Amino acid sequence: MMTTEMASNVGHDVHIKDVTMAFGPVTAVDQVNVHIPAGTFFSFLGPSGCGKTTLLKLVSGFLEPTRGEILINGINMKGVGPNKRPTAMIFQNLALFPLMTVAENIAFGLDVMGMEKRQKKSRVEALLELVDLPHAGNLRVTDLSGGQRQRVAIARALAVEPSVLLLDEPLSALDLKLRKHMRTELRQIQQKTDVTFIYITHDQGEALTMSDRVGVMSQSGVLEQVGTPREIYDHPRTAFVASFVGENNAIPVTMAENKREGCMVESKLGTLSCQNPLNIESGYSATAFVRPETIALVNGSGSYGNQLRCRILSQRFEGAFMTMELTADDGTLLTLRQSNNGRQPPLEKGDSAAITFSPEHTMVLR
Amino acid sequence: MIDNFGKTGTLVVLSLVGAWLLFMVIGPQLIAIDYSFRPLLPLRKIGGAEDIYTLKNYLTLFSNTLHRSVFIKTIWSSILVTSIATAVCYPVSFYLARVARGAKLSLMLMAIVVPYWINELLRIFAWQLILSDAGILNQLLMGLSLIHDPINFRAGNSAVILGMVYAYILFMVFPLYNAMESLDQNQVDGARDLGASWPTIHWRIVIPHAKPGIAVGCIMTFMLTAGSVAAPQLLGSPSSFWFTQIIYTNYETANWNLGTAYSEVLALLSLLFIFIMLKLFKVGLKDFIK
Amino acid sequence: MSTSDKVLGWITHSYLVLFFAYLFLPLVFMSIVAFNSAEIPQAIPWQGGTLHWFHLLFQDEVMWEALLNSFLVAFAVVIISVPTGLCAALLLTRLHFRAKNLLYALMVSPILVPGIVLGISTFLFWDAQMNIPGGLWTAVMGQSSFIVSYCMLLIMARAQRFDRIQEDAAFDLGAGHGRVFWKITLPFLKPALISAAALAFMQSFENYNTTLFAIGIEQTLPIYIGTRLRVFISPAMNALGVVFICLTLCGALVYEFLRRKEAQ
Repeated sequence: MMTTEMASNVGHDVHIKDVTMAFGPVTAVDQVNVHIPAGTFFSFLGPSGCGKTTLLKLVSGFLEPTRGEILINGINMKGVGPNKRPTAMIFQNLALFPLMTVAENIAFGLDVMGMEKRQKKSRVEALLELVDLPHAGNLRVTDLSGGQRQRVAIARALAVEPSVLLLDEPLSALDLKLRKHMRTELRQIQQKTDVTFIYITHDQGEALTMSDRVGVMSQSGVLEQVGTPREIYDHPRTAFVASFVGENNAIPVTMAENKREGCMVESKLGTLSCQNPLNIESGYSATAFVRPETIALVNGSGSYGNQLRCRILSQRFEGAFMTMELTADDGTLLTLRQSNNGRQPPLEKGDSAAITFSPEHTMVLR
Repeated sequence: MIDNFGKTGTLVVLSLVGAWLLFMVIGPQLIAIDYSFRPLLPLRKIGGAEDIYTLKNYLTLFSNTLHRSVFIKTIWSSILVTSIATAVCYPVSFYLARVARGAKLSLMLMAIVVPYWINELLRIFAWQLILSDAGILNQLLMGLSLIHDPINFRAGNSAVILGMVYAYILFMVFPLYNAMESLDQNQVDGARDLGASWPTIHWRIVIPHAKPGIAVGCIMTFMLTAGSVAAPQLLGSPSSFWFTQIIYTNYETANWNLGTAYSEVLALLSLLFIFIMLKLFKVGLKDFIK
Repeated sequence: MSTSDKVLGWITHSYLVLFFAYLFLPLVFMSIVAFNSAEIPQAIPWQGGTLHWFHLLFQDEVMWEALLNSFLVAFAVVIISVPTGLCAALLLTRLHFRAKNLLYALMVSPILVPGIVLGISTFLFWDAQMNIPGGLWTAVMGQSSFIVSYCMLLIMARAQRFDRIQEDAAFDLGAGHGRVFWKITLPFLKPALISAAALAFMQSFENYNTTLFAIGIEQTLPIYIGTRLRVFISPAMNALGVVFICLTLCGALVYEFLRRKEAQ
């Protein structure tokens, strides 16, 4: 149930300007620079320890950056504590108040604002409706399931009408089915309320399905690439992004010829024709990436540009797909995935086969 | 700044704790130590030429034969009481921790705790009733024609020791009970299964596990016994003079200097015993939860 | 069950019977004496039941005054010790610095020395140095010195189980320090605070060693009992003992009743 109250909950943009966070000799966040537009769903995606939680703490005000600035709606947040910022956070273990009921939890922020009783009650009820937990107000939080607790945490955070909602891997403790369901729900809530969501996760499925834009972070706190889910999947800008997001075959290569339209690289598998988005100079070593679903078996109708001779190691039938593990002459392992449309004749383990992939789908990155 | 406390919060916390430590812990101790190092002087001579720091008070413990012998006897008796208490309470604690169950357990626990809500002095006094010349024990023995004249049970140390064991049983039972409770029953069952006898099981499985409890129990009992004031006063005889009684006498005669010196000695004795116990049982100071 | 097990069981049960007899017989005798109309406190020979000693006890004005003092001192001790113990516990669980173990040892030290040491030093500190003569104030000071430590330990046990991320969440929702403490932290600690208050009260009321040296001329109930028992033995003290026993039994029943009710 959408009320005009909720529609007026306008999200703000967040600008993380050259932010570095160092704890002594350890750098958790390294010169991160990103602008998150108001009202969008932005995810930080990366492995454990890449600094995404630290980044969230910086935006929410629990930490002050060693260098750099954080601006929300154009205002510098330096020195502003977490209770004064227009942000609200959903903690990883939710941090619901165990001694209070659901309604008391949600109303906590409203108590701080000094809202009068009747208005508070109706607001709590509206929020419970929004997160699909009507009539749950008097329950103890300890009696709720994981998914229900999740929703109480969201309602509690939204109660204070934040401009920016920060979510710290909120779905990691839920089982698979619930996780998939909550992904859609969170996205819907974000779209309904128009609040800026900043979401951190190590699960790319989540990041790719929920977000307007994704920022990929690597282990040392570096922001590798920012783009729409499509962009970071189809056009990764660094080797880390290429290998972290989705499955990717990685072939060590050396740059031979660097041309505008494409380039040639040398590898143990022979010469390959690829894209060179980073403009790597000749003579430098790099890695060529090609996605399993862009590799095809040669079936007589010509090749796509690059061609290799391989031997089939194993085949996995996965319903809609067929995944094959192949090994090239020099032992390099490659994965191929194709949709199961019955056209290809089934091959046996041990058979040799020719595979082909186009230069457009082959990226050379570092 | 203390985690999550604002400026006022930090100030309040530090002030209260600081005031307690300064005025109730450190301050008094410093004054006492100061007194202990100064000689006993009449009022007009204090602050004058004779008011210098000296070890005289502490040395009196060695030079005065009566004081010295009382001190040593107190230590010895306290160790005795601690040992007896340990031996007496060990089976009971074991029974409570590993055998008794349910309602029976809570009843027995209650039965041990309840007497302790009655004032220590009255409980010790009750023993005086039993052990005195006209007391119940003597009357019983005479009534059964076993003796003709009342036995002076209060002569010597026995009455005091008996009374002290009685007074401090709780402080030995509960630490032992707590420590034994956490023992994994499977260890005991496993040992039985392998054919171990009960003495072996206790010596090699239960006691090692209960070490922190034994240490705490012994420490509490020793400290309460060595520092006991009521029991020696009520149950003692001249030949069972207790060190605390010497301190009390000095206190009453306003000889603060000797009194504080001896009480510092008592404190040091207590700390030394604790130190030895912790080292012996390899337990840390942190394991002190009641 | 084998014979040796049976014998072991028999020995165990006999031992336990003896043990509890050892605990309770003195109290039983004391009760009998209290009702015996003999002049000298004795159980035998029984000279007829009487409540005379109880009357004597209740007419003793000094006893009533001592009782009042005990309550006053105990209340003061609770009011001082529980908040201070709370602060000490919070300090130790939230501050991290190298000397923390040293501070912990210092804060626990009053429990590690005999009460008499605390009593004498407290008396001298206030009477000789601060010019406040021995009395109820010094008794409160002397008792609090170690009762704060007990309260601290009790509260710390609970405080260590508190997940401080709740406080972060409350801050995040806009609360200030005061509200976070009152609405989030304190409610969690409440059970420990109540136990600490009860413990402080009982320890203060019962205390003899420290109070004896710190209190100067005044008297609390234990001091009164001690004085009387050393000077003149009257069955009236037994009457007091019986009063204690009855109150304790009532207390135990109430406690058990409350415990059963909560367990439902």
